[in-house]
Amino acid sequence: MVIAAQGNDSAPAVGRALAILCETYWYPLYAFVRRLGHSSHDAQDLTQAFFEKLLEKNYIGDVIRERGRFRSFLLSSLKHFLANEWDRSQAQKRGGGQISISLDEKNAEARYLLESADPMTAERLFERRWAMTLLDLVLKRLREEMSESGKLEVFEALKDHLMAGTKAPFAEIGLELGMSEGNARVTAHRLKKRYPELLREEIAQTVAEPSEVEDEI
Amino acid sequence: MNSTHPNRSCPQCEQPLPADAPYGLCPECLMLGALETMPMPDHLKPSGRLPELGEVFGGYRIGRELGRGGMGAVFEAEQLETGRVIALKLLNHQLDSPEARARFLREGRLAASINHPNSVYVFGTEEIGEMPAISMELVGGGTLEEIVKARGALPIGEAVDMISQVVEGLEAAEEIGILHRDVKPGNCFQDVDGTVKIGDFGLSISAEARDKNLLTMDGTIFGTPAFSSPEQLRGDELNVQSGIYAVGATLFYLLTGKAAFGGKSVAQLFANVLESKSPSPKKKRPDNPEGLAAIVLRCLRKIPFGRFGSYLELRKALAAFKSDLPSPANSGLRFLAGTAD
Repeated sequence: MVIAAQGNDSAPAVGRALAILCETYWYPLYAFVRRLGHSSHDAQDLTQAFFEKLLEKNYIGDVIRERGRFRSFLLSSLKHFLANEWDRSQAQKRGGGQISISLDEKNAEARYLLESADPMTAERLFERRWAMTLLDLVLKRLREEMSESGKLEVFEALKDHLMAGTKAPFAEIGLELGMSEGNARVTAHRLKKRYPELLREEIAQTVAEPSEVEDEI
Repeated sequence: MNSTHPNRSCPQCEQPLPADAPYGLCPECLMLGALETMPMPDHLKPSGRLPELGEVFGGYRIGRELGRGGMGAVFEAEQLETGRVIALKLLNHQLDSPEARARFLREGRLAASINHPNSVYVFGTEEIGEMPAISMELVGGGTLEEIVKARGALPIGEAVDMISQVVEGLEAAEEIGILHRDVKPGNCFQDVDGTVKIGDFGLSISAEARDKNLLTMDGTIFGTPAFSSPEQLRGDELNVQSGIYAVGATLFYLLTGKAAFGGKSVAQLFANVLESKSPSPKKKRPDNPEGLAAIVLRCLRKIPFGRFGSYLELRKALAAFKSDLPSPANSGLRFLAGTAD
């Protein structure tokens, strides 16, 4: 998304692409801010203000193009923002940016309250949340793809077998789906092949160079 | 707080499932599942493995590795047909379309047309297997970055001599329409005879097509933030003044041993380059002549038209600080000369 948007070198296109990325990956940042000890209300304000400042500043796209991962860039920028830039009044006056992003603030705290009580650092929590968001996004896309080709029930029946080490009872699944064992096996293989492709595609949206996809995984 | 799904654990690894596990599946096993059957889409495939020492690779026998970076690696290599020892830069991306391939080869021909003693000669570009390769003149004395790291800030005259040669190389390139987009100490090479050359024109872009970023690869920005002009960081159009900025940033480094701008993070560095006032090299090194510090600061102005108008103008300004200026005769010699008259 960001890489593609950079191809036409259009600031609005990059801005929109970034807004979408921010909307997708905002919760890991919210969780990070909360884990640092900010209240729910402050964390919402801070996360929102941070994104708006980034998008207004208009240099985020250059940073991504320069190299480096969106994930680590966002985290380091947020730390910088929290340490140096943010002040409460700015956050209260937010909303002046040209690109608006919508964060699911209502559910943020509900999600955060389910977070592990382990003494995990804010950074580690961020990394875990980022990975979880990514997986959720990929499975959602895979489900949509299957649904669009009329194979939603196939996805539901086979999704467990996307996990490592699973041995699918294809005869049983075939029976359930009204297909032969061989067909069920081929379908599962295709699903299992498509899943990592989508994962790579999503990761590729957040890194500057294809070679970084491997490292990110 | 409750962190796990009530009464559920992963059937594979038997670890408790997080409450918001995606589609109720274990995140760790899902990630491992992706790695298990990970076919890489064609457009994301790296172009191949890098060759090893002694290997015959295309028309070259590979020698020692000279450097490695985000774009690929550079090797010393013997060109089998001619026996010439060259530097072979191998890029780690495939040229995934006929347009990208044509562009790469066109840029190679363009870079090969620069023939100047202060510019690292580019012999040409080619694809070896599917790996884009640039063959260049091998320059033996290391980069200016390596020299400063080893010796610290350089004597003023020596630094000015070096940067003046870099400017001459850039001037020659500019005359035939090539802008260097990544001038920095690491791309300036000193030959064994002391000549300084600007190199890595393989990553440059023709001035003629400077508004078409796609002339280089896939929208990847080239440049190094600490030495890049504000307009380059913003992704704006580049021109000679952008190169003059990078020359000023490089001279700052040679004179002080430090980059003009820094930051604890990439974002902070960007913000400093874009917004902070340029520091004077005199502050970091008080024996810097006032006039030379003023030249550096003029190069580093945020607004391009505030900088020098051309490489020639910059080179003329630097000339007053070169080490080979004839020094004025001392008073004793002047007296003797007067007596002889």
